[in-house]
Amino acid sequence: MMAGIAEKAAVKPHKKQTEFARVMKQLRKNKVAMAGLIVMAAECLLALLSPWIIPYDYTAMDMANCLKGPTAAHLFGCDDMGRDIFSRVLYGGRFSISIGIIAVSISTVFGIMIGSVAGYFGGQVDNVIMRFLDIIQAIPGMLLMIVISAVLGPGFINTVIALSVGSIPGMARMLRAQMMKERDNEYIEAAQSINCGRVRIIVNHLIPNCISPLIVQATMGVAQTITMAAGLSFIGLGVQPPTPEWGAMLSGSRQFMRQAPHLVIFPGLAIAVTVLALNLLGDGLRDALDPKLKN
Amino acid sequence: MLKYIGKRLLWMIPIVLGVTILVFTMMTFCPGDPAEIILGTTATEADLQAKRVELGLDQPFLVRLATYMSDVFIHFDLGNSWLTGVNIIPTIMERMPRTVVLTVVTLIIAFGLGIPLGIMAATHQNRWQDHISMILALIGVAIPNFWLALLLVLLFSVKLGWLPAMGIGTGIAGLQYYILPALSNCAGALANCARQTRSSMLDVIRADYITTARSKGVPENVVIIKHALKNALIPIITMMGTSFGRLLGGAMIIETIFSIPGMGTYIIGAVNNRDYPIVQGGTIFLAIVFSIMMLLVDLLYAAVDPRIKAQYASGKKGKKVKK
Amino acid sequence: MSENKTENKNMPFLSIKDLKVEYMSDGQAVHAVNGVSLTLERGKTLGLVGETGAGKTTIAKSILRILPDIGCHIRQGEICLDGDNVLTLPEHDMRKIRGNKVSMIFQDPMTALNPVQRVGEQIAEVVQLHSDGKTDSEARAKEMLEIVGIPAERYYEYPHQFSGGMKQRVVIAIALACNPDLLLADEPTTALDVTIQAQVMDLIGELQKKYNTAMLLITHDMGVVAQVCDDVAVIYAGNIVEYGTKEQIFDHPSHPYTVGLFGAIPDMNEDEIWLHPIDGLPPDPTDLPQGCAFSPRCKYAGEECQKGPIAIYETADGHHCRCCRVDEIRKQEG
Repeated sequence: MMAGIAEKAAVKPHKKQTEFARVMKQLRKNKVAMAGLIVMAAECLLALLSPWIIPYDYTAMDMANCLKGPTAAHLFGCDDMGRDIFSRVLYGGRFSISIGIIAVSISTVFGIMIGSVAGYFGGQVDNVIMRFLDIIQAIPGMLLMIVISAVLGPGFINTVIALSVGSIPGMARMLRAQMMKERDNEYIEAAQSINCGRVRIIVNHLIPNCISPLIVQATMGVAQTITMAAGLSFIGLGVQPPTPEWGAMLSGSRQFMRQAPHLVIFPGLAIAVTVLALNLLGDGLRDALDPKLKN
Repeated sequence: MLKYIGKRLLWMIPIVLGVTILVFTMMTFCPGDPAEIILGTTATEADLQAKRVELGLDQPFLVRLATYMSDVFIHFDLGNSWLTGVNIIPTIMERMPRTVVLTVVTLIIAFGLGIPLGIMAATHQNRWQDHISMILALIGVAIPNFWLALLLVLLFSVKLGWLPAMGIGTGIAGLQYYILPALSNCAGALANCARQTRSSMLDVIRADYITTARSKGVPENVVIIKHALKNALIPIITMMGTSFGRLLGGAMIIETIFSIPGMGTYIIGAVNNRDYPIVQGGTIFLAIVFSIMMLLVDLLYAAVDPRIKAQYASGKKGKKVKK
Repeated sequence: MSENKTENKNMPFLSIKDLKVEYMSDGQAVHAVNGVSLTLERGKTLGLVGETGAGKTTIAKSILRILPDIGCHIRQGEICLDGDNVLTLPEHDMRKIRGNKVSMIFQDPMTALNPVQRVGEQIAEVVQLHSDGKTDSEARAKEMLEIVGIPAERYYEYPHQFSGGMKQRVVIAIALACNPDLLLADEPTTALDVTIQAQVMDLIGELQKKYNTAMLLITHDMGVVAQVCDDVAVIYAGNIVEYGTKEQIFDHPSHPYTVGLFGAIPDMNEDEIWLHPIDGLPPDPTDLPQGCAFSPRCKYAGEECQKGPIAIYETADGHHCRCCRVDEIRKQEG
């Protein structure tokens, strides 16, 4: 263990490359995780390219096709305004997936900052931060999101902010726990003995060693955030229709679900497939990053 | 042990105070002028000003916070609804049981089915029982509860007409109104529980004391339940706490789908109507319920694991014994 | 029936014939035990000696059929206990044997006890399982605690309140609670302090004498073997390489591996500065050498050692040795 760490420290410039290669090699062996990765990559690509590849304008209304079921021309059918659901789901990926990724990125950055300060300094600093997190986490997650969106109001940006703020405590807690585990290792003492500054120790030594669980948590976090965002939009507090965010689509279609079930089936399916793919990828990454955790 | 419970209850006080301060502070940033929300856009400036004074909005923030805190913790008054003028506490008392019933029923279904499913997967590791239950669990985690609710309504209410799609009922017959909401809310927790049970059972099953139990001639099913499961319970109980929070949050959304007049519809309706005292009071109330639940989970640890009980009794801090 | 009985009388109490056990690990077969045969009479003690990973524990667990069920199975052989082949017994009958007729003391007392069950209940459980319903299992458990030197009041405590030595006493109490005919002791003293080791061995010996229990003692401590064993089997890479009475093995070690084992023990009578460790490492059990498994480390190894399986040679007085050059070596060593 110690030898491994010393070695990593010694060959730092190459470490990232080789570590990445090793993880990818492990991941490639795991067919289920690869399936998740491929599905996710395909979804991101489709969402990115959607303005050029969707068969219909996602806003174009066509009253003649109102609530029409799936056909060859409209793969997923049409909604209550006659808009092509297939085009809307593809285009909606831009909103849903980006909410997940942006919110998790923001919460990861803040989580790292808060968690590493608490974990590294310990003592009173840690105590104050942890009690504050205790207070935030005494409010059930979804309720916290509802309150934050009540304060900020609906809309894409506000939803991203609400979700980011809501997931910071979890991230910070995880990083702190990891940090406390790493902090006691001897290589930190070694770094201190050669007069490394605190910030330098945190940034150069501790964070890189906490990155594996962070990657896993972030991957799973994106999945969770996408669901939460859709939930918020669904109850009318997140992204608002007619924006084709998947939850917002479900929300707008609910009243027509009895006549035209396909209106609620496809957007929901899009969420489920995305979350499934991300969870599979997350499981695979956990196994690949830390073989010890595998069972 | 009693000392520990007392200590934990005392510890809840700063948390609850903190939640109240946090929520109150956040709500002051809500958009809109309360006086205008209450009186409507047609009110004159003089009326609005009078209302502001009545609500104490002319006071500085700290004074308002202090007034609110004393109202809540000394007079047990969460204020009145802006729209109806009705006091919030009685409404919460009427609605809270429905949310709690929904959440607890969901929790029972999730863990009542999730634990056996996880045990089956663990004892049949890498066989078809394991694969099927883990695939189901993965799907269960991935399906959003509100979408599942819609699908279940489509199937059981619209297509088959077996179960009511919305509302609540009274008495035993009223329970049928909770079936679909509970089913749609429990999928994620059930799946997570099955996965957690499987992995912690797999850890435990390889332990030496399981071999000891087998070497004593203990029948295999007793080995699994009495010796293995009891040792595997700690991480499962940890999860029960987080699941309760998630299920409570999930219940908010589920209630709006099934039009259950619980806390979820109350708070979300209030957000839409900008009736902020309800949002504020409801959130504080739910946070207290959640904190009590987390305390119960902590006590459950002690009931399951004598080592943790000893730790509690000796007064040493440190909740984590394993993991 | 009568024929069967007479046959039982002639057969040794425990006899293992040509036992082979394999594990599957990452798709590779691990040959843990490769054709072990041995016998043991009532009241006697057989020592199984060998390095860690030689397959000693696997042999003991095979007798009780408590090998981990995932990817581990007994390929071949028979284990006869009192004339019954335990490998073919239905699970139901097997359960009646476990803990009752045959019981096991595990290597690591720190992990062998269930952490969430009261110590006394763990002893009472085995009594209750094998009693006719009349026995007061709690009283018996308390009696057992006293026998192993723990006050009966500690019945209601949990393992974390006990020291390592006391836990091992509890494990012994569990193993002896039903007066077994055969005791499988898997390195019962390795995890204990030296001062407690002797106490525990004395305790086991005392109880063994009292109930005329046969014991299979797994150990790598030659001192313990000298103290308590009647017969000794030396195991290397899942196979017996030398087998005989304690005197035969200690006075005339024949197999180069046994000789090496003795070379690695400090001798109090001679002023030796260096011990003589055996060079090299035990072979990879997924990829055993063709011939003698010890040949890569053996200074006497010749060509014929690597050709094929080595037969076990028996001298007139029942001393077995699995070495094709045993005669030459004996002459050489004098």
